[in-house]
Amino acid sequence: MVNPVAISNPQDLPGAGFDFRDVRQVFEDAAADMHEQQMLFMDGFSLQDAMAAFEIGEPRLDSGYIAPGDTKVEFNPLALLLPEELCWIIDTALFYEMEWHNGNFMSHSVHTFLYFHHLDYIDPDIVPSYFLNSNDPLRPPELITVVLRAAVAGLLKCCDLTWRELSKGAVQDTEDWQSDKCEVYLLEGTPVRVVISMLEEASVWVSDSPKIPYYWKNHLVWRLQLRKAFLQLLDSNVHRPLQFQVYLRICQESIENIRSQPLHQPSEGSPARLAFDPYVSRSLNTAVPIRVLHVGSFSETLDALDAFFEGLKEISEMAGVHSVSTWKAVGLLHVWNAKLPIAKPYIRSFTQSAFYNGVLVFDQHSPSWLVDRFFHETIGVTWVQFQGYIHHRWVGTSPPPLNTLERDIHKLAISDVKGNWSNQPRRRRQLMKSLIGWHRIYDVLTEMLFDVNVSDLPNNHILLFIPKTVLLWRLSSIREIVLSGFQLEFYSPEEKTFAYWYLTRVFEMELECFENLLAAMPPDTLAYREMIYNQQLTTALQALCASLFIMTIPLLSFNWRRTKPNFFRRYKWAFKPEYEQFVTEPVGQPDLAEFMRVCLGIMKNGVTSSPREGIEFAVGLLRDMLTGSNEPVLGAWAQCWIGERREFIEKLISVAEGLFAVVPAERNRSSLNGALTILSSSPSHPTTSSSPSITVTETVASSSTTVRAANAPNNEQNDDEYDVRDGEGKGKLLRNVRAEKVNLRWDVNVHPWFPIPVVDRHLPGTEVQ
Amino acid sequence: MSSSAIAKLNSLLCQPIRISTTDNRILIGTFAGTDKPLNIIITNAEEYRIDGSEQLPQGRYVSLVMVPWKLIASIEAPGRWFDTSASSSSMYI
Repeated sequence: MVNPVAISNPQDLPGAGFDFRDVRQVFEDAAADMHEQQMLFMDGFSLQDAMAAFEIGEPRLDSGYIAPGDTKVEFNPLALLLPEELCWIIDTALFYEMEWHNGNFMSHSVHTFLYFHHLDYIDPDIVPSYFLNSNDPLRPPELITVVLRAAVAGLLKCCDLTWRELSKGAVQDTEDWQSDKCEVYLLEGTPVRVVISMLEEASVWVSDSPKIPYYWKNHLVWRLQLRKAFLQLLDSNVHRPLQFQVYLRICQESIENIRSQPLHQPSEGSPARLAFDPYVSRSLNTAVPIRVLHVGSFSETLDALDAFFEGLKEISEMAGVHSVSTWKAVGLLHVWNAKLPIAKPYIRSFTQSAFYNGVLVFDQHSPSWLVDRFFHETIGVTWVQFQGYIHHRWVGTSPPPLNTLERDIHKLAISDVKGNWSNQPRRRRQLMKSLIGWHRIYDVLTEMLFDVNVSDLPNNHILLFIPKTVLLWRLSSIREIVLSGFQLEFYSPEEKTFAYWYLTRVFEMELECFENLLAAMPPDTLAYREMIYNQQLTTALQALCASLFIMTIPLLSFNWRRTKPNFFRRYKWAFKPEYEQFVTEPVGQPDLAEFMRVCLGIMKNGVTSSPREGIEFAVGLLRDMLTGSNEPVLGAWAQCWIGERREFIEKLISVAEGLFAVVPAERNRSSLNGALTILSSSPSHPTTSSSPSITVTETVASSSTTVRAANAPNNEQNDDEYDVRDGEGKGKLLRNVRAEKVNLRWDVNVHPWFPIPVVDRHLPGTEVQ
Repeated sequence: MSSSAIAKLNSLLCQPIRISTTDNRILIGTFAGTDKPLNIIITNAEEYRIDGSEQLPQGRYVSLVMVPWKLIASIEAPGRWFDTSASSSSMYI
């Protein structure tokens, strides 16, 4: 047997101590005797276990596979470099660092930078003396041992600090980022100040050394400065704003300097090009298949870095505002405003850490402070004042459960605020989970008031409406869950109709809470203004949702048999058995039966309110919100983010105006009713294959696709006819119900919740007016 | 004859084996199973790349792998298995 492995001495082979001997014949003899399907496994090992094995030689799975003819050029960490080559290496390493920040694996990004694995090789105390004495005037060895080494150490330490922040649990490993270090040492044991001093020493050497041409001094110093300030930024406390902002400014200035003088790529034969090996996974401890990331333009890397520092800048501004409502408002604006996605997991994690570090809020406040602010910022009354009212008027036999309440509110409010910086599906799950908790608090507060003597209090005393404060937070969570379904493109066409209808119900309950609380709250407070803002926005959103409900009714299949299970799956959070343990009925739960009643009512009686009027009303209200006199209300708790609020409302107006242009006018209300009449109980309405196509145009991500509604004509005949009875279950049989073209397109890149019209000039009633 | 060949291979299960592949790698791990086409499954596998240098190659842990027979340049079992195998044969055959 010829062993192709070219090692002269067998004792140098791995496993030499086992005295390995050839058993090829044993395998071949056994294989000749085995049945076709026969397998041999050791005890406790099954075929299922075997399925999990990585196949050696399969390029997609085997990270160690080298295709025949694939030659590897040897990397020499001591190859001398020109200053421009070094700059290119540092810039490309920055690209890979940003790629890791974007959620790529380390083995595909930063680990491809080979100096990462050879830091010891370029240590001036270790390198051979001939290297240090080399006399190439253009390529001083110090560029490697001093400058490159400091830059690599800085990058490694930045990766280490980033890894530590990301692993705190605020963002999810494998969802938001990849934690696999492949057992590569990221200078975890080296203090930041040691790396900083290396970078400083390198900067000084570059500035002072006559070996570096003057032109290249600036380029190198900017890059070293950027790395140093970046490292200091990652290492500093955002709650010490002066220091943080100084580092931030240096980073941004360095980027501008670097951007101002772009560099050329090194030549094809340059040793700099060997500094990155996308196939480095072959020698790393990782099972992740190889993926080659193509290096983009350096200006894009700088843009990504700029966005990163902008994110840090915003966190620094937010950290100065110790207000729960402000943080909630800013978080919601980020979620709602499709233009402002916070892509980098580090920024999202760091924001959450800045809010709550696991012990203190804003790095200095206790849990009871948070609960105090929760009430003060929502209704203008502090938790301490509330406790005072309760103790003074308590008539119950056992003491009021204030401690439990405080703990629960603290936990849920923190999760609610932080959740806005989670990824969207995770945020939706967190919100769903929180609903039971909010209802528990609502239930306890409602029950508690029965043991409080309120006989001498006026009807609009704030104490009577304390449970509504908690109810507001719960209703806002429900609203966010439903809206996130649009943002995540979860809803099938007919689910959208229900979602808009359900939102109008949730908004109705929110508005009722606002009305009760505003009558009892101290006016001229930020809490009061914030509530007015929320009341205005909710009213406008309700009008829009009510209009969209009517506009999307033609999407309904009225196949309740299919709708029901879908409904209970989609809204499973509302039907948890835990709700049965509470005395108080949960508020704002979705109700399919009520929805069916409303829809059937519309089918029988036609549309009574015009969607056009609703949209017109919403646009007017939103415009009023933007007027100068309304500015104190628009700002309220989000004073520093008033621009973002304005932008959000302007976008809402723009989408609403687009819809307004295509909604049938008053003269055309009959056309909408006309579309709905085919939903009516006319058994004589023919079902023919020549019926108009019932397509709903939707956009998924950036590509526009056309999907068919549930009962498209090419579905089976049985799907076209449904045994739909009216709400009482004893009405007439409704047949031949079909979804219609609504000429609306949902595109989360345009608006997260609301559709835009698709203008079809061949259909009546859809022309842009 | 047929059962004894299979029985012999069966006795190799759970033993450490060393596989050299045609692309200059050595895999050492515990022999966990095989089938008729001789796809060899090894667990707790370490992979060593032999690049022609005289130094002992550095390994990496690759856990559970399956090596198709066509990629196998050599497959070896430890010397102690031969001793055990020989003594078992003398006792029962």
